[in-house]
This record gives sequence, structure tokens and C-alpha cells, in this order.
Amino acid sequence: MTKTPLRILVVDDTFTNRFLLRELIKKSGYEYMEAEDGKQGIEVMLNERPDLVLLDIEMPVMNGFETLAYIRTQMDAPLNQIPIIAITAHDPNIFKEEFQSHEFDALLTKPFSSEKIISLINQICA
Amino acid sequence: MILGHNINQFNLPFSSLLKKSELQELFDKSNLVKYNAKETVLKQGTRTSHLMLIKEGMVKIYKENRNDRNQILRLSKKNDFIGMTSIFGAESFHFSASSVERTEIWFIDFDVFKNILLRNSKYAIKMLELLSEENLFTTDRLLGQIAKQLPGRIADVLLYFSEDIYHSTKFTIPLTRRELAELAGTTKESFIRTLTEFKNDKIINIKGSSFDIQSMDIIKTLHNLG
Repeated sequence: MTKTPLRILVVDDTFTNRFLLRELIKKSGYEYMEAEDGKQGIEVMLNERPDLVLLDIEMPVMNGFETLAYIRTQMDAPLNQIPIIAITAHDPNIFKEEFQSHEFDALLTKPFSSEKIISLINQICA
Repeated sequence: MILGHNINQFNLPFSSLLKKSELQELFDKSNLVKYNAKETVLKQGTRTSHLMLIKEGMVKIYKENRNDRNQILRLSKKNDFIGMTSIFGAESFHFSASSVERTEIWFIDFDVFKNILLRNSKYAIKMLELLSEENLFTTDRLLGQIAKQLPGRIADVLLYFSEDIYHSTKFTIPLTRRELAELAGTTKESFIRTLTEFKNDKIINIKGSSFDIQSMDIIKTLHNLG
């Protein structure tokens, strides 16, 4: 029986990031879906029920922290327990404390490397 | 402005394949012209009579289209010929060229050059190789512009400067944002927006016209994924 590929949602307002992540995720054999802000991301989650979310922090309409809080407190199981990787261009040393106070599963800091992205996704989804 | 010059300054590529008399003949029928930045070197439609060779500086080769929309085909630098394809393939130049910085160019009489190619097959083969390289480069670039999305095209431009022109991850580009957009085959607004995204994502750092590629891995990934 063929295994269903993992379904990954990327929520990022930057086209370059979505483009890069889309190509890398698809190339790694995963299914890709995207949203441009947190509000759109929540809608995609409800409709598509992905297995993993890559969530940018700085976004218009609804930022990454607000989106995470909504997912963890307002959504029903199992969506409220979905693994979420935070994406940020903030200095990881400065951002670490803020990151730890939220319920993210991992942190991906910019600049990315294609290897780092895929290895983190594989690690979280293992 | 025509300058006084001597044969030691004549930087003709592969000149070791020429007889001394052939090199002298070419030199005698050439003259050196000096340009300031942003001067027209040749205008699209001009009749072909001279082959050009860059002694110093940099020249943008561009196609003039309707509505003042230009497309930059390439940047030519020291030791590059200009106009090889038009010289052999047409009666007039199919593109324009202008200096992007202070530039010196040899204008070589085409009839003399052609006669030497007829006599010297080894040199003629080298010129065919140069022509083929130029055609492959242009084809790849233009096909890339058709097939690739914006981040891939902008990554191509940054890689072009980093690897082909300056051989460094840090460089200062003597072109305006509009010219860079013309090189990437996009609008100035889209080019600036994508550059800003690259900067925000720490892929590059920009200060005016100075660029620093901070994540070559991502630039190459974008270039390859297109």
C-alpha cells in the first residue's frame, strides 16, 4: 500500500520564502500547501488538515504568535496539537526567550539553508 | 576621443595564435576610444564595420524595444569582444551598447579581421568557440527568463555578478535598479520588492549599490529550482 505523503502548510507573507519552501518540500516528496497570513493559514488548516505547519512570525493581518495562540487554544483536536515550526529572521539569541514562552515545536531562523529546512522537517515528522 | 597607443596595449584574445604580421595588421587598422560612464558606444541599427574589443571597463549590451523598454542581454568586460554575432550575421547591429563605467574600447576594422580569419584557421576556430559561448549564454539567460519565477531570475542576476563578473560574494554594481530589472527581465518595482524580500530573509545584505550575498546556498537553490 502506498504511504500518503506528509502534508505541510507554509504560512508566510513573503513570496520568495513560499517559493523556496514549496520547491524544497515538493522535491522532498511531501505535499505542499500555503497561506499568506495567519488568518488565511487557519482557514487552510480547517479545510485541508495538514500534518505540519511552518509559520512565519512577522506577518500582516495575524502574526505568527497570534496564529499559534489561536491554533493551540481555539481549535479542536487533533488540529490544536499539530507540530508547528516557527520561521523568523530575528536574531535567535534575542528571540529564543520569546520563542520558548510559546508552544512551538521548533525554530527555523533565517538565513535558511536547504539542508537545514529539510532535516528539521524530517526530524519533526519522524 | 582617439588616444595615442602602441601594440603592447593591444589586448587581442588568443593573439599567440596569430603571426606577428597579422597582429600588426590588425593593430594598424584599429583605434582606441575612451568613454566616460553612461556613454553610448553603439546604437542599434548602426551598420557593422568594426568589431569592438574592451580594453578596460564594462559595457552593457541591450536590446532597445518599443515604449522605452530595454532588455539588457549581457554585461561585457575587459577582453570581451562586442558585436561578434551582428558582425557575422547581419549588416547592422541588432543591439545597442553603452559604457557603465569609464571604458576603453578598440575598434578593429572588420574587413581586416575577416581576412585574417580566412587565412588563419586556428584563430578562426577560437572565434567560433567564442561565438558559440556567447550564443549559449544568451540562450540560457533568455530561456531562464521565460521559464523561471521572479526569485529564480533575481538569484540568476546576483549569481551572474558574483560568479561571472566580480568573482566574490561582495560586490558593488554600477547599474541602477531599473537597469538591474532590465537584466532580470522584470519591472523595477518587482525587482526592488524581491530584493527587499531577499534582504529581510537575510539571503543578501544591501547598502545602496553594494551587495553582500549572505546565503549562497539559498541563492544557488533559487537559481536551480527556478
